Amino acid sequence: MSLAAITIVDWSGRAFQLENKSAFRNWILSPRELEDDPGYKPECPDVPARLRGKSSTLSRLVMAPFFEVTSLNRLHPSEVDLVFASRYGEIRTLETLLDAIYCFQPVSPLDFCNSVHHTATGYISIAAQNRGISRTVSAGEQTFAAGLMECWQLLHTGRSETVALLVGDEAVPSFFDTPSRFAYGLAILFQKSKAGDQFPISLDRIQEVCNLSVSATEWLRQRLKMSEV
Amino acid sequence: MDVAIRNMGMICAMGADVSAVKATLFYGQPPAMSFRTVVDGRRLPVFEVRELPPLPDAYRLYDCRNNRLAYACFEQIAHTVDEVLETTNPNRLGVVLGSSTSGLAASEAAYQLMRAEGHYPENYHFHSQHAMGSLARFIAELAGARGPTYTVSTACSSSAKAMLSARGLIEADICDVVISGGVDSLCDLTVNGFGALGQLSSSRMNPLSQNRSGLNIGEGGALFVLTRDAADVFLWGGGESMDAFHMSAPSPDGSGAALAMSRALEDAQVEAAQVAYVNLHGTATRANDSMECQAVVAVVPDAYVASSKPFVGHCLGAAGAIEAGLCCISLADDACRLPHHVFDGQVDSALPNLKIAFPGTAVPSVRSGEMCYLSNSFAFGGNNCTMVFGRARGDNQNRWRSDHSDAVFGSSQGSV
Repeated sequence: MSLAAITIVDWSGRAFQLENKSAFRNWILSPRELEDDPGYKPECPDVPARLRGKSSTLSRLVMAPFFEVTSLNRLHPSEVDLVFASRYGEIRTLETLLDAIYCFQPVSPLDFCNSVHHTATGYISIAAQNRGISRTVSAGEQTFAAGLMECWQLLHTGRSETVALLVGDEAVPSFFDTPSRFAYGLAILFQKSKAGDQFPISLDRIQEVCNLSVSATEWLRQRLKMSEV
Repeated sequence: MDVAIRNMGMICAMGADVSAVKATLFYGQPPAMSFRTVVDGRRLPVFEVRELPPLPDAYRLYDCRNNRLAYACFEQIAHTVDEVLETTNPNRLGVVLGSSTSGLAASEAAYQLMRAEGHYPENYHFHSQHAMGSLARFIAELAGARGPTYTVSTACSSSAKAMLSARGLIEADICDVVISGGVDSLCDLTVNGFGALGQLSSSRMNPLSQNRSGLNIGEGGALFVLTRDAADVFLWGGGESMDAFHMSAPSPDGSGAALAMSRALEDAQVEAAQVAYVNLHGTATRANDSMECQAVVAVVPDAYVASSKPFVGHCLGAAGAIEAGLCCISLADDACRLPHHVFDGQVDSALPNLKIAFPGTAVPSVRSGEMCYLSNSFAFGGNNCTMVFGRARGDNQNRWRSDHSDAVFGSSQGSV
């Protein structure tokens, strides 16, 4: 059966000094330059302490809002498929490894495991005992749009009932010669649109952003201003 | 939905194009390996592509080893892309590729120079050479594609997942044609990283053998033109799962792998008895051999199995695409000779009993469109993916052969 539209069930975010959805929402609506603390790691009370200790900063930035929104919406986190959209992935861990190799130092096995782009989904899988689908995409400035495409197709083809679009990046180390940004993580829950949904997102609207350089926060800002989320 | 594989291009240690790869697969010996030195001083064998084409001047910002591998693959399918663009809106031509490290080797070289001399190499461009999205963007620019363009990066399952994403874009009517597959290139990080995990062998990898000693890293790529059109060989479906077990070790009972394989059969609407062959992930680590064999026995006990990695190495994010390419070469072969298993013949008696595909094993029954192959790819984070490939079946039979009796994969110059 063809799917007409998808809908946002809920969302949440994390960044340094934005420790819950309310704070993140306020920042999206009234953006200001955010400080970044490279040592900042969000609380993740739903993740076992030992696993939390091993997990990367970027993983925790998306794990925290993921567990928050699934809990608030009474969805078991093991029953939600995952799409992780990250432009740079584990770029800070990568720099640590580049430095180790330059210095002829042994590579840390944990750092190596934590350097893969999709590290966050691995930790969520273990913490939530989630054995579903997970995909991780990257597309420069179109990274969020790529994640949206993946969510659409998983729901449209009936492979998923609920998909969490996880979006996150860390501040990029200066070596990579990229304007540094603050670290943040988002989790947006999508489901198939039901009759009566106020703000269904149709394929046309998905395709509008297909190759647009719109960030997740800007997309949410537009929707918040229209009271769509 | 069965998605047609209209054409493909490949490069790896087995050969610089589909014809050369096929010749090595069916008639040749596994290629010689070269060596890389890791930080602890060990020299470890790797599968390296010896020669790579230069990029056209207009694309020099993209110039890195990874994108040269991608370009070598694209050259083999460029004529097919041109053909489909005659009838396809470029906005509905997508590019979804898989890679684990993209052009990380370029950043490694740049980091060394920056630390040693305080400046970047002249030709270093992080965003077009190393940033993960750059691989797909490069191919989209070459192809003139304006549809969804992104890179899937889930380590060693990247390109298998990319192909399922590409199929999903066609199925969801977002695209009519998608260039998919994957590319990965040798770099210091992966060789040192797998070395740190104790997973690298100092000799040719030896999957399913009692003498196994780990894997060899390789490099290469394979690109496919996927359409809703018709062709000889189709991607019938696929399945994905997560182990929910450990970041770098697979679930020992193979349950995560078995789940991906079972979901693949369900998605492709085939029974276990229809699976003629499984191209194993087959990394020749004790943990992978043990769990994957259990999974195969649980899901498709009667299928032939083989690991192709002793031919090409573990090409990480490109492994799924390259091994899918080998499956497609076999399916398009008149005799349907299988990509066979390469090892020392000393089967580990602790493993479940499997039907190993030895050289010369063929399954001509797949020509009827009743039988199929599976291709397994498993990755860090317990990220599993199985693809299902077969000949045309159902309504897709007879749509293609009548007009394209010589049409098979490879360069425009001839068949493979």
